[in-house]
Amino acid sequence: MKIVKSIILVFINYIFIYASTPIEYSLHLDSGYDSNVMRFSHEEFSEAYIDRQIMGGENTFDSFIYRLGIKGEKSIWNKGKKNIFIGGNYFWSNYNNNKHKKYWSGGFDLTFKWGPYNNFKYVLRNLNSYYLRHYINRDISVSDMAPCFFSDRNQKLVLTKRINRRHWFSVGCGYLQRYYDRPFTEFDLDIYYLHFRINKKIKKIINISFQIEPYQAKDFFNENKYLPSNFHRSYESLEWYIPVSIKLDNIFVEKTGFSFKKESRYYEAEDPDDPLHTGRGHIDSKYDFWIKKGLLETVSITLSARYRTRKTQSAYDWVKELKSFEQIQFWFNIDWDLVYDRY
Amino acid sequence: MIVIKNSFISIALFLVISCSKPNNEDLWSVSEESILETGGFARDVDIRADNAFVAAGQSGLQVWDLLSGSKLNDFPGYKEAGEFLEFDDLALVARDSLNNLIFVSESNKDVKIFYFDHGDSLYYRSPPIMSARTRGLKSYPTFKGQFIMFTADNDDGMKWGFFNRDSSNILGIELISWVIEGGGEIYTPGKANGIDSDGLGFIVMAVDQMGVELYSIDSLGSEPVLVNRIDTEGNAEKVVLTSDGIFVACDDAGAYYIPKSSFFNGDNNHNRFAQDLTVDHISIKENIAVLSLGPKGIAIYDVSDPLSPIERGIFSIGYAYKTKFWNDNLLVCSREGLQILSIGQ
Repeated sequence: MKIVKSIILVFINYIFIYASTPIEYSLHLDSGYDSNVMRFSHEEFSEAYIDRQIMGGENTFDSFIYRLGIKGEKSIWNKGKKNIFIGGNYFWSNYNNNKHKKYWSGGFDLTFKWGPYNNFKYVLRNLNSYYLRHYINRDISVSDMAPCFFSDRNQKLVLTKRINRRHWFSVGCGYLQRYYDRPFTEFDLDIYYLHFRINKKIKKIINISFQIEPYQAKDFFNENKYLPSNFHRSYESLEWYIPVSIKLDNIFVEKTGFSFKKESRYYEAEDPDDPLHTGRGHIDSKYDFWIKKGLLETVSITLSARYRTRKTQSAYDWVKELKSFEQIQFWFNIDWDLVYDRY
Repeated sequence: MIVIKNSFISIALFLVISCSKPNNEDLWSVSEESILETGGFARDVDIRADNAFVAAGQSGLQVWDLLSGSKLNDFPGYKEAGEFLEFDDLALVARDSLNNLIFVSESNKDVKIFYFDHGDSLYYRSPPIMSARTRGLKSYPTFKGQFIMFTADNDDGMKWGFFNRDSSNILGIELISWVIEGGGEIYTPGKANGIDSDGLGFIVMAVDQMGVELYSIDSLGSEPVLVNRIDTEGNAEKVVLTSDGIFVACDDAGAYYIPKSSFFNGDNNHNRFAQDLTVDHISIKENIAVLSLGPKGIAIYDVSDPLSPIERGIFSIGYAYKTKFWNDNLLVCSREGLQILSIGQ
C-alpha cells in the first residue's frame, strides 16, 4: 500500500499547492472480453475437464472485463517553449468471471519539454498483483496448486528528439522489477531494457512508428542450489513493435489504427533437471486493430480487438504444447476529457 | 525556483518510499556440506561420537569419520566359519558402543551381531537373532555384557528380548555368542514396519494398514503392554517417538502427529500433514521435522506446534531413504551416498 499512499500524497501535493495551472484529466470506462484469461494451451483446455485444479476454482476459460480509470496531467513550470509536466494515471480492472483477476495499475510521468517532439521523460508504471493462473506450489507440495500473482514496477527514462518536420525518434533505457507474490517468489526477475523508436508522419494523416526493445531478464533470487523449486529463469528477449494510426475524420470514424508487436524470448537455463526452461524460447505475437470516434467534443469511444499467439520452442514436445497459447480480446472504451481550471 | 525545488523534493520522496522489494516466502534452505560416497545406496545410519555407521546396501557396512569426511572402515562382507560371505543388501544398522557391537539387518532378514572395536576387523557373533523380515530395531545396552532389543517383525509383530554375552572355550578357541535370556513376541494384526522407543517408558510401532501402536513398559526389560492402537490413512511405515507424541510416516498418505494423550484417552486428536507427499521416514530435532520422500528428496516442516506443522520446503536432493540429525547438521541416507546438509531457518 506504500505506493498507493505515495501516489495520492504526491498528487494532492501538486494539485493543491501548485495549482496555478489547469489540470487536464480524463475519465475512462472500459469494458472488454478475454477469450483465454489463464493463457491455457490447447492441451490444457482438454485437460481442464479432468483436472479441475488448473482452473483455480473457475468455471470458464474466458471472462468479461470492466476497467475504470483516471488520467491527469499538469504543467508545473513553464518558460517560453520549455515546460515541465507531471502526469499520473490509475486504473482498476476487474475480470467478472475470474475471482482472482482484479488488480490496479497506475503510474507517474515527469516530462521536461522544450518544443514539439523534443522532451525528456521519466516514466514510472506499477501493476499490482496481476493474476496469471494457478501453478503447483513446488516449494512445499508435489500437487497442490496456488494462485500465481506478480507485481511490476517499471521505470524508464526516454529522450525524444525531433529530426525534421516529419520525423522524430526516441531512445531510452528502463528497469522493470517483476516480483511475484508468495508462494512463487522464486520466479522473481529484474529486467533491464533499452528503447529505440523512430516515428514518421505522412501527410498529417498517417503516423507510423517502428520500435525495438532488447531485454535482459536476470534471476538474482535463487543462488542456493537447494532452495525449493530453484530453477534459473533468466532470459533474453527482443521486442519489436510497429503501430500505425490513420486520421480519417469522417462521419463514422475519426481515427483508426493497427499494430503488430512481436517478442522473441530465449531462456538461459541449461539445467537438464529443468526441462521446462532449458533451451526454451518463444515468439509472442500481438495483432491489434482499433477505431475511434468522437461523440461529443470531450467524449470519445474506441473499439479495439487483439489477437495474440505464443509459439514455444523447446527440445521437449510437451513443453511446446504446454506453453503455446492463443488469445483474443475485445475492448470498448469510453474516454471523457476534462479540465480543472479553478486556480 | 522554490516551486521546482519543492517539486523535486516531493518526487524524490515518492521514489524513496515506493521502492520495490521482493517478497519473502519464509522458506528454509539447505546447504550441502559434503557427500560421503558410499558406493552402494546408503540405506541407514547410526551415529556415535562423530562416527557414522552406515548400512551401505550392497557395499556392506562402512564406518566414516564425519568430522574429516574420511572412510575409516569398509566391510563388504564378513567371515563365518572361515568362509567370507558378502553382505547381500544391508538395510538396517545400529551401534552398541558399550559392548562394541554393531547390529545389522539385510533387507527382510534377521539381525546379525558383529563385534567391532574400531580395529580393522569385523567379527561375526553367530547365530543371528530375532527373525526374518525385521523392518526396524532399537537396542539398549543395560550393562557390559547385556543388551535389550526391540524389533518390528513384519511377520509376527513386536519381538523383544535381552541378550547376554556367552563365551566358551573349545580346543583353545574362544567362541563368543549372545544368548537370549528373556523376552517374547507380541502379536499384532498389522504388519510391523517400524519401531521406536524412548528406552524408558514407551515403545511405538508402525503396523502398516492398521496404524500405530503405543506400548508402555515399566522399565527396560519388562513386558511391553499395549496402550492403544490408532488407525491412520495409508500405510504406517516408520515412527518417531518424542516426549509428547508420535510422528508417523504413512507412505502415500503423508504423515501424522499423534499426541500420546490420544492413545490413553482414545479421543482421536491428531494431525495429518504433508498429505500429498509420499513419506517414507521422519526425523525430528527440536522444531524441525525432516520427511524423507524417496525420489523427491526431503521435505522440511516447522513443528514448533506439532499439531499445526508449517511447510518450509521440498528439497530435491536425490533419492532419500531416511535422515538423522548429527549435531546441527542433517545426515541424509540417499542413493548418492551419505549427504551432510545444514539447514538454514
